[in-house]
Amino acid sequence: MKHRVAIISVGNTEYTSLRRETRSKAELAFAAIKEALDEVRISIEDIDACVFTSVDGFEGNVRPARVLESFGQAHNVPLIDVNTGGSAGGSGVKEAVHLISAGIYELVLVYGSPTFNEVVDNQQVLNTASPPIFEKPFGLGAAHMGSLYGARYMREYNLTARELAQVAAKNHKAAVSNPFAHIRAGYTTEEVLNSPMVAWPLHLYEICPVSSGAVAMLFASEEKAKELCDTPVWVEAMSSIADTFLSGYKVYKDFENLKILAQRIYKEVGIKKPREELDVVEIFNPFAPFELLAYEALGFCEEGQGVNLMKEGATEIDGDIPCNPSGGVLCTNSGISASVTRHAEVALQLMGKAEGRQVKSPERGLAHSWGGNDGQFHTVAILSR
Amino acid sequence: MASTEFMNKEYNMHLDFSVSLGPAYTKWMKALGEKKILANKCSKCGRHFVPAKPFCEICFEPIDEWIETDGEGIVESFTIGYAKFRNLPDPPYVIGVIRVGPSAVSMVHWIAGFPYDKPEDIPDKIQIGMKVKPVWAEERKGDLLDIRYFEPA
Repeated sequence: MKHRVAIISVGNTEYTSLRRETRSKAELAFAAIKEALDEVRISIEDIDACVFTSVDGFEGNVRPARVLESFGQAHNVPLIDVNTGGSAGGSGVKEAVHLISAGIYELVLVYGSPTFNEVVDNQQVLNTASPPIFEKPFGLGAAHMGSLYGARYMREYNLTARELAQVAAKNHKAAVSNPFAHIRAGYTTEEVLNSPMVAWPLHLYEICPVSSGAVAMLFASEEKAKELCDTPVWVEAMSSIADTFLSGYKVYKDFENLKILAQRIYKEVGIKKPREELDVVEIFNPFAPFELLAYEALGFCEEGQGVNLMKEGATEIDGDIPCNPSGGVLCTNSGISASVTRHAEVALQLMGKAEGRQVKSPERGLAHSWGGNDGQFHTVAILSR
Repeated sequence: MASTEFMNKEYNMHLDFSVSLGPAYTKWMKALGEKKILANKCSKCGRHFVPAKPFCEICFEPIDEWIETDGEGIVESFTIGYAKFRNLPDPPYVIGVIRVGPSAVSMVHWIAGFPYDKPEDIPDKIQIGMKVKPVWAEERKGDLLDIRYFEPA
């Protein structure tokens, strides 16, 4: 990168369900952004630009950023709207990183919108992301898309229903200690297996909840970061990848394009053994199988070995490659807020501010996001202290 | 002090659209009306496509070779919808990712037409890798729903 880029603060709200939500969308944005600004003692007029990320149309409003007044509109701050489906948070972070590394701006705010906090039935809304003529009529919601990966992956590697439930239970256990998780019930493997089957092979507790809550992050140039922050987290590299829109064009036994992206980004920063060289990882895992698919695509283990990596305890908070110490998207999915949160969580870990879920002294971490119709996009960021 | 009172307000969007399919998708859809599943083939890389594609995204060339398949496909993956969602089909329903004939890619359609006693028995009735064939609708209009569903072959 031309100029160094740092993450200098994170603003998080509490997360809850839609039915329990009493805050308006504008209040959520205000709370998250205010906290991010207050953390480094600056005002909204100090930021050079704001990147807003959501999925167009999912919020009951095709351009939600325009109706909120939380992004510095009163001070004529440029507003940039980024949408790559579920990975929009990663793409928004990437946009902020580019703007600063190119030397265009010094302070950029990224806001992850609570994309689903108006929906009456989320699967109905997510079904509108399917290709309208070729796939939408067959009733694909997001849960079904996740299940297509689960079914093929389980068959390919003889993964049992119990093993898949263990992946979910690992995340539920982690979320208990995360004050910013939505579902903190700590469901066990038995409870996961006994939860209702929603879209075979996925049970209810192997599927993310629909959450409400928001996150904001502040990105800064090296000079600004050193002026404003004692614990800046540096962006070593950030990249994304795209492929086909149609669900039918995918193979479902692996995250093929994430593997390509990971190899590209590891080469850029000189990572040869990711399991040894990364200290904390946040994977976009709205469905339990995604965590195993990502372990393999990110090169933490061989193909089909993800479940063994988990069973060894390697990916637990005290393991050698902690993955989703937050409980991941599986326990908190506030839409695009969740893909920004993967970066916010890794940044908080590296700052030593991950209250309740802190990994011991991490130096370098990886944040991943996934999105678009059935995984059209992935993003990966490598962050370090 | 923050108020403990709050309200929700409901609204919705009913929107209608009409999309031009272009010649390749039109030819493919019209053939469905005649109980035919066509494939087209990229003359550069040799890959076949069901559904047909207007151009090969790898070679980035237009596609103009066409063949008729026997309609049989292989199940590459599937899911069973057990929960009811607004505007989505009534459960249980099986969504298959089905690779038809020589196609390099798959299409999405329902899998049905097999006997089962209880909905929870369905996962044992379908396997990834099994052969399926189309069951055609009586009335067809050049649409994916001219195929009612795919059934085990």
